[in-house]
Amino acid sequence: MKTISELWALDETIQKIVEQIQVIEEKRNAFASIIHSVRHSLDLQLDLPLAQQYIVDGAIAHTVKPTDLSGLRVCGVDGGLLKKTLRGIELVITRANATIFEYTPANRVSAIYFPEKMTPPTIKAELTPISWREAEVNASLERLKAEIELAIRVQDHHSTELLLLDGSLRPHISDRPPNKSVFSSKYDKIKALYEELFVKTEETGTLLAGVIKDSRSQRFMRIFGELLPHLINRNPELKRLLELDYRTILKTSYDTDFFFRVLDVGERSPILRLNDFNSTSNVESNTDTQLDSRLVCFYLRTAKYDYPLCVEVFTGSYDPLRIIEKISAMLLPMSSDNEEFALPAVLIDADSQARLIERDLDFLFAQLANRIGYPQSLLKLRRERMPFH
Amino acid sequence: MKTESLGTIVCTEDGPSTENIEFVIGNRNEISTEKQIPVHVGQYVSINADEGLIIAHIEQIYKTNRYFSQIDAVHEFTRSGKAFGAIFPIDRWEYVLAEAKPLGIFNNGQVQRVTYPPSPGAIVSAPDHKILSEFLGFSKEGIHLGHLLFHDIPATFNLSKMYQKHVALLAMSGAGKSYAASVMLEELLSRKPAQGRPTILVIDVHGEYTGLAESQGAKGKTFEDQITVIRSPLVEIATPRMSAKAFATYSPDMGTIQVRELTRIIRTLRTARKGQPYDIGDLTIALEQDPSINVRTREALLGWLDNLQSLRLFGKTSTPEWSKLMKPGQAVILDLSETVSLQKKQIIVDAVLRHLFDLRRDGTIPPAIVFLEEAHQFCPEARRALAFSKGILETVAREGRKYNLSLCIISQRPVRLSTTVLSQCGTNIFLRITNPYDLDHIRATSEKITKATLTSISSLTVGEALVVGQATRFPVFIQVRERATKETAFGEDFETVTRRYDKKGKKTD
Ligand SMILES: Nc1ncnc2c1ncn2[C@@H]1O[C@H](COP(=O)(O)OP(=O)(O)OP(=O)(O)O)[C@@H](O)[C@H]1O
Ligand SMILES: [Mg+2]
Repeated sequence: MKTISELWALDETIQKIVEQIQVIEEKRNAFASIIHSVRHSLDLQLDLPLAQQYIVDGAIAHTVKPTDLSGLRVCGVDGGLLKKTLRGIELVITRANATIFEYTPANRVSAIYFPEKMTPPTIKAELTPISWREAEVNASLERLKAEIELAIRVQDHHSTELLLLDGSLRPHISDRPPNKSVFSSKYDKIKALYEELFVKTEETGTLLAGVIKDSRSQRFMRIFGELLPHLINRNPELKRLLELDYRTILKTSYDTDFFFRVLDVGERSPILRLNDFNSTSNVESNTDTQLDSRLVCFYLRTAKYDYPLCVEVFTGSYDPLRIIEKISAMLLPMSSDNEEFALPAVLIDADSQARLIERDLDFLFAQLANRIGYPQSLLKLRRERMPFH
Repeated sequence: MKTESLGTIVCTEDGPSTENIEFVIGNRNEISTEKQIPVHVGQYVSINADEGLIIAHIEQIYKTNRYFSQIDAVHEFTRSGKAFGAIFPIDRWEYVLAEAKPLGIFNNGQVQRVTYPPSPGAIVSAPDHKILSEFLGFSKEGIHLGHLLFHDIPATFNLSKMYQKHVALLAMSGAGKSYAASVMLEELLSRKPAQGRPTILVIDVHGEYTGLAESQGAKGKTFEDQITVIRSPLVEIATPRMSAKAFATYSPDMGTIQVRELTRIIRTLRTARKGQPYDIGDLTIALEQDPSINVRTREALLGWLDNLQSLRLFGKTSTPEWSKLMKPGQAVILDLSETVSLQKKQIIVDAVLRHLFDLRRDGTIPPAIVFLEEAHQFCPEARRALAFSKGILETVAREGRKYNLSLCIISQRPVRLSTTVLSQCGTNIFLRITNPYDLDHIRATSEKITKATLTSISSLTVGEALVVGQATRFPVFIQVRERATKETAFGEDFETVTRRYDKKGKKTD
């Protein structure tokens, strides 16, 4: 009898994958170790218009001085989403929640929940037939809407130093409905809500940041790729980079992966402006996100065994440097308690508040079927009713 | 009806059912600010359900906090040495859950079995005192032993229900058996003639009950006038009341032929004496002078009689005169503390009990209750451990009920007690017991005791008791009340006695 490993030729398959990874890893490490050695000294040449346009401060790494949290109030907003496709009904269930942490001088965290502890979810039904893709977009927009509306509303009730959103401060490009979609107006509404949020935080004097859990951005990689020829010219110690195929390395790396290798714990990346890439530059247009010149982003390494946080910040009319200094000083101690998991504690709490589990909603479907008078088999999709599952 | 809401029934994998319900305890925030514990294991709760008012008993309480339910996360977040509460708002997420066992349904004074569970979401309340008292089967008057644990409800037991079928008072040493027995005695002695007063015999192995008769009680209470203390050296057993069989009990080697011969000789002696009392000396003479008896039988009988004589327990008449002492509302404390020999103590107990049994059978004395301390010495289970008093105790245990002669068996070693006696006890009162063998034995002899109950016996504190059996409808945990009379020096602690001894020494210096 052959074992499963033999049948699947597991050894070879794994070996192949490992080799692939090793080759890339070696290159990335070689590249990163050169950059790491000059991370504080390298000047990103802000005299170049290209650099100026996209980068706020000069070095690859900046040491963050953590602030004493005691007395601080921080708000985390998160939304949970559950999309349920029933036959002929598209149910979108969302729950947005704000957790406000107050770090007391007694070295204790107390929490306020808004609108309340265990906020009940909001349930919406869409009856017009829509495509799978539209259904996905619609659900995602509903969640965003709930989150941002709550982020605006919570500021009327609780004042905090810092308001953290779980996720970006801009709609993701994948959230844009297809052309002529019935949800286009919803998308526009959300863009308007972001504007409203920005105005509100300026009014209330709250710092606003979005923490992106698993960012796939390559923005810095692209800018850096453009800058590197100039930098190599001016810095002899970078000449070694020429021996590496650095363009490929940059093209195949995410920013978070790069900064994980280059930043030490307690350091942040340079601040990147999130304005539109100039169409005349060689930096390819980033199609991933909507861009906005009032927003900046940076990476902050808080944990030894986790990727850096990707943080977007609304700076408004203020000096981005001052604001980032403040925010990173707060985020660092809030996110560095777990060596293997980097996320501000308040967002961890908000996440568990907002999270929706399908099992919790079974009773809802049962009641729905019951009241409509359908057997559940007519309501649920066939793929969810597969026997032997 | 005044009810205080304690919590709300939640769903569990197997509940709520008729066997088990779980409820989450009320307003957490209130609780944490007031710093009071809202419910205890052992407490009773009530739930308004479809069938009526369910009364349930809290068997377990536990806390949950989702912040601590993932071990790895807790570990990782606390590695830095920072307190978890400084990172997350843990206080807000602590919940207290109680597991309760539905006992029955109370409907207009009737108690029924629970045949339909309460609903999730149902409110769990503190039960109304009057209802709970009735539900558990306490009576308005009777033996007031203390109060129901965690409830301000008097634990008063109906006299008949408690003593009709004997009581066993079992606990490890120092748990408060003698104390509880004293409380019972106070209750029995306080009864008014209209209520009916039994007569009482206390077989006091250590002489620790004499305090009941002393005048300077803690609350100035004394039962001086109702108590007679008999010291064992003064006890005499009436030889004429002894049959040959009774002699054989104390001389177990005696064979059937010897018993028959002795029977004949006793009969002859009785006829000759024409009702005049005689003692063992007289019997010995009669035996020596008997012409027809086989020499070897005579020698053997003489040996046994001589042995018994040397105990100096047997006289012509009975001292004290039991029928005169055993009056309604009166108690005799038979103080055996001066008698060292266990065999002698057993003979006294045997003879006295046989006598009482007879007196009770022919109605000479009122219904009686016999308190027997260190019962395992008088009716041990093991066959090897010969005990002269075992036979009569087993007889009283089996038949006493018919004649209203009731036992209150007190022992710290239930496992060594005769199962015949123990199984005849309708009511068991347990104080703290930790010995696993004793606990196993109890479990085996009482079907009313669940595993959970058994566990709680080992965690009782001094003065806390579990009453199981005829006296109540359900097993109940009670706090034995303070006694009104003085405790004998036995109850005093080591230090007090030491100090007094020292003081005495100084005076004599
Ligand atoms: N209900 C009670 N309230 C206050 N004190 C009590 C109570 N019950 C017992 N005690 C105290 O506990 C101690 C031991 O009690 P007690 O002598 O009755 O134990 P016991 O079980 O009879 O022990 P032993 O097996 O050694 O005879 C005494 O000092 C007594 O005062
Ligand atoms: Mg005792």
